Amino acid sequence: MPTPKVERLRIEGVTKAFGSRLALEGFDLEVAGGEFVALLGPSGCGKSTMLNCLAGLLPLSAGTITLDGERIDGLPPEQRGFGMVFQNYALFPHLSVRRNVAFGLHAAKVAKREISDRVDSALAQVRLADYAGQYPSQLSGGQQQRVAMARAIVLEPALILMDEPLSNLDAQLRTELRTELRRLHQELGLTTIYVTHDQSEALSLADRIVILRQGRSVQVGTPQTVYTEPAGAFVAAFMGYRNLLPAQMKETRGGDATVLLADGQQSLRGRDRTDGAAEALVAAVRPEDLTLHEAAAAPDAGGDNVIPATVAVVEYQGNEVAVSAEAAGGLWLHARTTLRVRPGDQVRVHVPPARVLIFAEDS
Amino acid sequence: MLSRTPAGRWRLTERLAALGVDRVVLLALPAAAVIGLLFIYPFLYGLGLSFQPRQGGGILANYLGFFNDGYERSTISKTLRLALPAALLNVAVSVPIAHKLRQPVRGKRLLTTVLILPVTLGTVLVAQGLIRYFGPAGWFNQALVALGLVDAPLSLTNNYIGVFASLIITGFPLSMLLILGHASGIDPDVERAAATLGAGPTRRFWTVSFPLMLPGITIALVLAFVAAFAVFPSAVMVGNPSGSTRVISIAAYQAAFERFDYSMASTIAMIMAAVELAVIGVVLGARSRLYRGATSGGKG
Amino acid sequence: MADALAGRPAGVPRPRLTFSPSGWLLAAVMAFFVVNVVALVVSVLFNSFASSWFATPIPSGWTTRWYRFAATTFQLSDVLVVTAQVGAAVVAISLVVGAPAAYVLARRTFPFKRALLLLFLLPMLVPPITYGIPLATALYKFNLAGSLRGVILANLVPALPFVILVLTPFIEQIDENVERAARMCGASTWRVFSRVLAPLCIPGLLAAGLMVLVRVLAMFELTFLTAGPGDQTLVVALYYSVFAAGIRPAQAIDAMAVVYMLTTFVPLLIALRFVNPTQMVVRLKREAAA
Ligand SMILES: Nc1ncnc2c1ncn2[C@@H]1O[C@H](COP(=O)(O)OP(=O)(O)OP(=O)(O)O)[C@@H](O)[C@H]1O
Ligand SMILES: [Mg+2]
Repeated sequence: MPTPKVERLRIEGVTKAFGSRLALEGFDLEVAGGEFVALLGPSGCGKSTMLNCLAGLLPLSAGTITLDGERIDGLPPEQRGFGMVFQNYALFPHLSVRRNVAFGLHAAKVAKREISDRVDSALAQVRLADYAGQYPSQLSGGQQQRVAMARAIVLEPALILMDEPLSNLDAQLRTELRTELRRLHQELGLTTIYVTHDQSEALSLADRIVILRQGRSVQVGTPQTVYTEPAGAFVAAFMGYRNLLPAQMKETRGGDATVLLADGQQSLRGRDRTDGAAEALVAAVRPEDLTLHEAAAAPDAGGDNVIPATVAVVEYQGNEVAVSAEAAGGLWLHARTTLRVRPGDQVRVHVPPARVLIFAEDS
Repeated sequence: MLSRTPAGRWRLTERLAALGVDRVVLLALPAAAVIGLLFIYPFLYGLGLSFQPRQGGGILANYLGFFNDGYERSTISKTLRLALPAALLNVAVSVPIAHKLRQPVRGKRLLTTVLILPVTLGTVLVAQGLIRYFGPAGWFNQALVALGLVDAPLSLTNNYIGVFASLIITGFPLSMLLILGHASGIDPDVERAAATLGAGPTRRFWTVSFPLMLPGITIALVLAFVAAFAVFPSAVMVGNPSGSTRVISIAAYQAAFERFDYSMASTIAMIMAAVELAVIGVVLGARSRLYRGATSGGKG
Repeated sequence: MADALAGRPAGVPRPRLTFSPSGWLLAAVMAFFVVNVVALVVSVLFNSFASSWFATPIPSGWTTRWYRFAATTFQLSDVLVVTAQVGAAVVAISLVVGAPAAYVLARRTFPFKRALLLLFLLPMLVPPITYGIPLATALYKFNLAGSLRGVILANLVPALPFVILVLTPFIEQIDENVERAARMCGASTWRVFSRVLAPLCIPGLLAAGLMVLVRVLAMFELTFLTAGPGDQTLVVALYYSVFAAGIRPAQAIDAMAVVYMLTTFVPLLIALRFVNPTQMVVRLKREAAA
């Protein structure tokens, strides 16, 4: 892997206000050279705002951005030397693909011969060598997307910023381009900040994930960490913990806790992830960690940590079915199983205590 | 399945339906008929009339008469001397301002509202106002004298300056609003993308914004010229209608309604149309030379 | 509608203009222009209320008698009635004839569609005085000129294309599936038009009608060429008041001008509630397409 052009990007206390509304509030992040960082969060949480601030397209309300020890937050975008891939591509409609990709090189007054070579190799990298003469309006969405990428990478920028570049594509193209992005990142050693609201995209692409909530970062970590050890209920919900069961604390010992679920009767054991003070809790479990047993066939299968429930909805999903079942007290459980259950069946839902995370409700 | 007549031919209605013509398309006919009867027919009628001179002398007698009479012929150059500089100035000033105002900024709506006023007031009222405002005792001259810029009031009406000013007052807002309306539709991310690629403000303007604004600029230039070329009421009211601002529309009007020579009047109207079309052709031609390629494109 | 067009949530402040040296220059040019236009209008207004005004900044005295003078000498009430008649007729006819054509252009593709579009665009590209002279000649031939009918017919020529150009994009942005859904519910074509499309089009029709009205009020050339003595609209009467024989005090003419301004401003201000000023001139996209 080539050596990255930057060693360290440091974002400290970055705040951005639109009128009285804070889109970003005291955002901190450090990015090492060559790293691929994903900014993940729901719509409107400030992801694009963060990217625009980094690119210099929006002035900061407070905070600093330093690149290898030098402050850059006052520089206009054209002097930062970052590449950006816009959410809507923002190709130059009046220029051919080749001229689009060459635009930045012309601005940098690179020699003609070199421009032509670099454009050719960038187009080859995104597999668009045959489309150099076309105009953006003559390309498909995925092709335009790749032109936008080529236009940014041809400059070999210190840092490349991507704003949900795959969000407008169909599922197949998206997986293809995802692989291509990862390959480009490894080949060129580009330091990348990638905005997305798709958790699987973030998990598969990034070295590190930053989860944003209303303009603040709530967790920073490797994909494994955020996936297996979400910092709170909000992150857990984002990471596929579809069962978020309201609960109250019954007892807590060491790292383990026993909680009473909503109806006050059913108790459940799990890992304690609260700070001890919270009253309202949630027990977070992924659908794939629940095991279903037919109540009639095995009345006490699964041992303890079992919730009896009635199957309500069954969705066919290939090998498995997704089951929504209702337990006492209006509790809904979402599980996956290979059992052939039908709506109305009585089931026992087993949960391994190690896979139950107990959070404060507002965490 | 289309049904066939015994002869094996598609029925006419079905063949038309396959082309997309059905009864709904007929709804456009009344409008087409109105324009056909009130615009195309009179134009053709006028064209025919222009070849039937009242005094006889061959079908081209009117055209020859116009071009051989220096007083009449000079109306073309007098009109162009007013219309071309006015249209170019209006557009040249509008472009940078529209570029500055293309994003939503505070006060934009108020400004555009102020601009729409002279356009809707029309040339008659502007000319009427100029008589007072630009006159020897008007505020404009009073201000110039008070500021010590001139010793005696300037003569700004009943001459070229008055007509030119009226063309700016009604023409500048029109060009400005046309160019602004077009520029507001350009995706602002495209210019931002140019900034992240290292292009400074000047380069961004000339390589990205200007080419993207060009269709709007072209139309504005054409319409500004067409409006200025047809200047009539202000040429009479604040100009010198028998001298320096005897524009071609005055010549046409006098032929029709003072000499009642409708044939000659139609001839002059046709000459007017031809000169306009020629200038429009030059503008469009220059545009396509200046810049080729797809105008619209990209996503969204 | 205007806020929605700007694409910004309500209540969010817009960015302020930042001024560079060139920005200041442009602002100065703009300010010079606006100040002069406003001063021009105000000087007409002042003069119409001035008992006399010579080379002083402000008239020496104020009076309203020029309005009474103008009302009697220029038969202001007759002129206003004619203006209202012409305006109402042109708006009504151009909407009734133009809206169906706009619908066809918005929804269908058919052979010669571009030619039809060009037909509707031409009257906007040729200035009124150019086609007005042959038009007036033709109308005189059929004994239509010199009457109210002639004035109305002539004013239709620029009004109708304008209605079509304003309404076509408006209808385009109404989701066609709304119509299809109505048909799936069993509505006949007429019912789809009257119960679904017409109510959805009302804002567009209103805006187009008001803008046409403003244009008719300001349309000098065509009315001037086709009107007889008894059917002048206000703007033509204003023109004649400057030239007609006999000595008319300038203040009375300016009083006329103020009345004319008021009649134009009222529909204009209402129209501006529905549309952006930039949309009032002409829709560029369509224009450029031809
Ligand atoms: N120019 C602006 N003016 C005012 N408010 C803005 C502006 N841009 C963004 N906002 C607000 O800032 C917040 C964050 O917006 P941002 O575009 O960063 O969201 P996002 O995380 O990128 O969302 P999405 O995933 O939908 O793109 C939103 O509440 C938005 O309304
Ligand atoms: Mg975004």
